Amino acid sequence: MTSIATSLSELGFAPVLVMVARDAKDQADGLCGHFTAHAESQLGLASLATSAADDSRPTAVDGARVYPNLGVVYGTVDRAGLTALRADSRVRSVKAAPQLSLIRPVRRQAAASTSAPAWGITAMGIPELWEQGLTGAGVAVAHLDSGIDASHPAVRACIAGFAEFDVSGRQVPGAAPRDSDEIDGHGTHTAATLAGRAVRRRRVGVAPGAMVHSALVIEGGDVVARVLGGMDWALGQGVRVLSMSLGIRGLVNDFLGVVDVLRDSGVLPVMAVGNEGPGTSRSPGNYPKALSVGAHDENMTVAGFSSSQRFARRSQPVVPDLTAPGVDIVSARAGGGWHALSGSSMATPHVAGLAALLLEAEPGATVARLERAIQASAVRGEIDPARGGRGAANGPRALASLLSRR
Amino acid sequence: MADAKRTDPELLRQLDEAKGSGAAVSAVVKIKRRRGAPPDSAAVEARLQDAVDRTREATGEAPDDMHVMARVGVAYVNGSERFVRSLVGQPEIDGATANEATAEA
Repeated sequence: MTSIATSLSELGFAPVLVMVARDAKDQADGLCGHFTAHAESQLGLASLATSAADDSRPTAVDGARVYPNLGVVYGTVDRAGLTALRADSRVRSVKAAPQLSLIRPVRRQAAASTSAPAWGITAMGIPELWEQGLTGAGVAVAHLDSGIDASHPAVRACIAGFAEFDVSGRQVPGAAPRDSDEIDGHGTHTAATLAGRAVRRRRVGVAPGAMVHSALVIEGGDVVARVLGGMDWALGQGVRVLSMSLGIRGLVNDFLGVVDVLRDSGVLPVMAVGNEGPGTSRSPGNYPKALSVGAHDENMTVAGFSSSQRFARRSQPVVPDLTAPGVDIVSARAGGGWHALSGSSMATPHVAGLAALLLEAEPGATVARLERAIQASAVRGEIDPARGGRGAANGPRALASLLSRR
Repeated sequence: MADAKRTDPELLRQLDEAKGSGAAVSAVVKIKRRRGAPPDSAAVEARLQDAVDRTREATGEAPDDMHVMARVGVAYVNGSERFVRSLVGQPEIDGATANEATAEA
């Protein structure tokens, strides 16, 4: 985690998160003059468009992004800007850019036109489960991410609920579905991989009958209570699976208790392991009680960027548990169309979608039984256990394993 | 007082920094619960209230803001350093973390 001082010293600017004083929330725009645009910064802020029409959407000013509902301004500052922010009475606090973040895709590219299912769906043998009539129908899945573009035809019909959360974990009243990630449309992409409906014969969703409860818990500056608010809300929606492609670098105990809560509440936590390569991982994906997912490519090789790590613990010493397709994954693009992204974020909804298919087949399956079936399905092939855990998740093998343990 | 073993080091750092400055601190606290079963929402709220009441008595202060997420057994709290530090040390609290998971300069 890089401090503001280190960033200023090394780069001349620092990405910061500003919490606006509660009584100055409507004056957040006025703080933007303290920020400076830097194209090299994490979000490429210099390329942002100017403000949107809807007051609830983030507005962008050179160097900064304002989140009016949250009372947060996120952007880059130089030394003078930092001094000015700290002296400004409208500012409650100034922090370095937070650790909790999207597990950002490592590559993005346009998608070619096709009528075949996305390669990852075929590689996992999912069409065999579809042929048996399994689509995930009747299964509710939680999707904690940057939100979802409800206008996209792939996800329009799969959204059972949407909620946005503020920094205290409270639900923002009346929030309409949106994808806050203006760079990749991360949430829209992962949601469509999880449960996207067919669009003119293009099929990108693993469980095209599942219903998604999507929580916007991460955008710009992000805080623990937002994610927990999303989890709390999801538990109230009766979900059976939780798909989360975000995390904190390293082994951090912040979420340790809530992963246990999810399992005790009958919810399988499916989480991305990270994109920082061997010897790294993110929390909570690296907890023993999370089903952690790494990424493999079409050659069933673990992607070089996919995190993996060994811990000195008896239970689940190696993460990820297994891998799933995570390279050049075509899915819905927020704003319309399709694009391919690569990352363990993309692999995670493949496994969450598989869990939904399995739960349709066996609605009474416990979290432990469901997880064991998915783990047992993994095909080792050439995958190094130190990099890919048990191997590549496989749909038909998971179903067979689940049904054999009735 | 805050138990260093159960408290996120970043929160401890923020508490130390806020001491004397009067700045508010935001934390997420985990409420003790019986393992193996989903949290009992009513029990979570009751335990938290006990902890808050005891903290109020000990510090003479109240939280600036509090929001319980009972289904996951946690609560967001924003208050003075004195209040938050005392709350985190209450027997009903099973751990705490900084809400704004960031590092200061």
